[in-house]
Amino acid sequence: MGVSVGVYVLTHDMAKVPAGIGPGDYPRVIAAGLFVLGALLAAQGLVRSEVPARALYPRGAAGRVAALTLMVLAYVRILPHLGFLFSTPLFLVGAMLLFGVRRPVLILLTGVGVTLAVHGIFYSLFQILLPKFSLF
Amino acid sequence: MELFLKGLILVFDPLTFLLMVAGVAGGVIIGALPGMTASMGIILLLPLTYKLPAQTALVMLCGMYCGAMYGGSISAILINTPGTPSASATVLDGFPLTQQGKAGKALAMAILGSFVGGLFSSFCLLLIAPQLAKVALKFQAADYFSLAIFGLTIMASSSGKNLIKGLISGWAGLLLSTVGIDGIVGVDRFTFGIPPLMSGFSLLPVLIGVFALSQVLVEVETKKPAAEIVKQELTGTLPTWGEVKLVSRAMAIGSVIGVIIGIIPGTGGAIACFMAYNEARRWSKHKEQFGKGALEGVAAPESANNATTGGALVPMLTLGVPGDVVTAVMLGALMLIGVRPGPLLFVERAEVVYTLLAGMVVIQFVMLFLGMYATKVSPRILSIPYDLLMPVVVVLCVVGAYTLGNSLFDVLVAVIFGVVGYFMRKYNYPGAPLVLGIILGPMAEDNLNRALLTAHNDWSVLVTRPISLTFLILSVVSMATALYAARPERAGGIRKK
Repeated sequence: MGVSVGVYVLTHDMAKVPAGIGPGDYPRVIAAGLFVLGALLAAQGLVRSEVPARALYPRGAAGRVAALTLMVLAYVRILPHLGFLFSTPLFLVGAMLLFGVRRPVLILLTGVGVTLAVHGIFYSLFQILLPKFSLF
Repeated sequence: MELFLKGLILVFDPLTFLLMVAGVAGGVIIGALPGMTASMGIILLLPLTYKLPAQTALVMLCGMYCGAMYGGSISAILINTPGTPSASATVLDGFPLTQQGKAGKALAMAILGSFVGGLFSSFCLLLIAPQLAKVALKFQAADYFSLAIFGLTIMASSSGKNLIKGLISGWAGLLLSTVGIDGIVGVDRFTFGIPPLMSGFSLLPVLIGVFALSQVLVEVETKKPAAEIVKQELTGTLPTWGEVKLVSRAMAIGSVIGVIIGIIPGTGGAIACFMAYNEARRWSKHKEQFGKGALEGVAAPESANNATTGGALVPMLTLGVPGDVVTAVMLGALMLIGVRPGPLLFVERAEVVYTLLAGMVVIQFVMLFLGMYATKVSPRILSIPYDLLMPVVVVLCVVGAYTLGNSLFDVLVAVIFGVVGYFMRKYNYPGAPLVLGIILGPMAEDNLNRALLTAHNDWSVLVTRPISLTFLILSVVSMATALYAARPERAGGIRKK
């Protein structure tokens, strides 16, 4: 419902057109629909009891999910600087540790092997440019 | 018939046949890799075909096209990541089957569906191509809008247990589809000064985020012991006669819908697969199984997306009008190898056309053979422990999202939608309606605008055109049946069972 109100505000000053539907009209119709659906869901929530948040998330889940998300974002951030070949093994090692793998040889072999295999398929075989190491 | 037989002989020429098999195999691999699409496969293959005879090159390119359409289902079924947008609906029942240890069975059903859909569309292409092309050309903006509305009614039936949450997901998809520069007036909408948002959200990063990355985030919540990994059955994956009978109606529905949608320019496999899924569910005797691992839920979308291949070739070959991105690339490829599609193609270059038609039929059998082999081999990927597999899936997702436009922004979009998809899963908001909204939103808005502009703001154009009126009536029927199926008493009845 909040999003719907936001859409109304953002589309308020958009151009009006003499024929057809204006650029703001279509999002406003969708926002109105979302508002009604949101209200219906809120009403439904009053009637039905929702599952408590604690039951939705296993112990420590939020931390692990947040850690993986941050790891992926960091991977995306360093990709253009370190390039695919250097940043991917780093990400894979970190992610495997997070997933609970504790065998160093396996982690290293998988990290390097998967990186080379993916690079081989996409870059060497299909000639698709992947980010390269760059100092600047 | 004589020309078709001559074409068949040419297809079985050793070089042509070998390159056709290579095209199909390459297509299956490309389709299975997230981020690689059929059009990219054709572009990659194009330089190899310059020196080949036109017929051989054409058959090889079609092999790539059909193979990629099927290949998308492999990653959709095994790792919940549609390899191509056309496999978006396959994840809905394909991945639940994998979670039940039936990945091989799901893959077999996908290849069977693809084979039936592809074969049906090949025969349609062979027998009724020029007539079908004339019907497709009658579609105008109002008809496209009504077709999009009909497509959007699928939101209701793909909403799962909670209709309101499904509709919110779908309408959120519609809202997301408005991000970017408006197609008629050229106004910036919801871009917040971010230049890459001006062209809106690309579909593939959204798909990768909502279906694949969100799944990885769910998996990272708990350390999964090795014993908990679902063991996949690798024997007896071939469909039994009973199973074939069970899915035959779904495959027939998917094939017909796929050909029709394929012929209509501007549509494509992603729309066809959802429509087929919805109709197969509507006409199924086991509706309650859909979304939980129904074989019909795999067969119908796979029949549909492969049936679009022959359908999409109809306007391209007969009129020189490409129906979607892949056929636009194919059109360019044909011109590069010296074949100019259009009404005279069937007269001037009959040998090329009939070799292609014969090739399309043979390609389906090659695909069936390769696909059946894939059902034995590819599920082995799932024997890799999840703690090793999931980080690799993330890397494939990142590369897949990046590959589409060599853009890290697309990767960021995939990550954001991954987090959104994670919370959607947690609070039981289905992902399919969101994707449907993003696919059909622009089609609905642009065509409504065009229809009103050409009709001088006369809204009656939507009901005075027979094609448009038919789709609107079908939309009302579709919505009514979905609401009837979702009414509380019935839901209670199902629970009691």
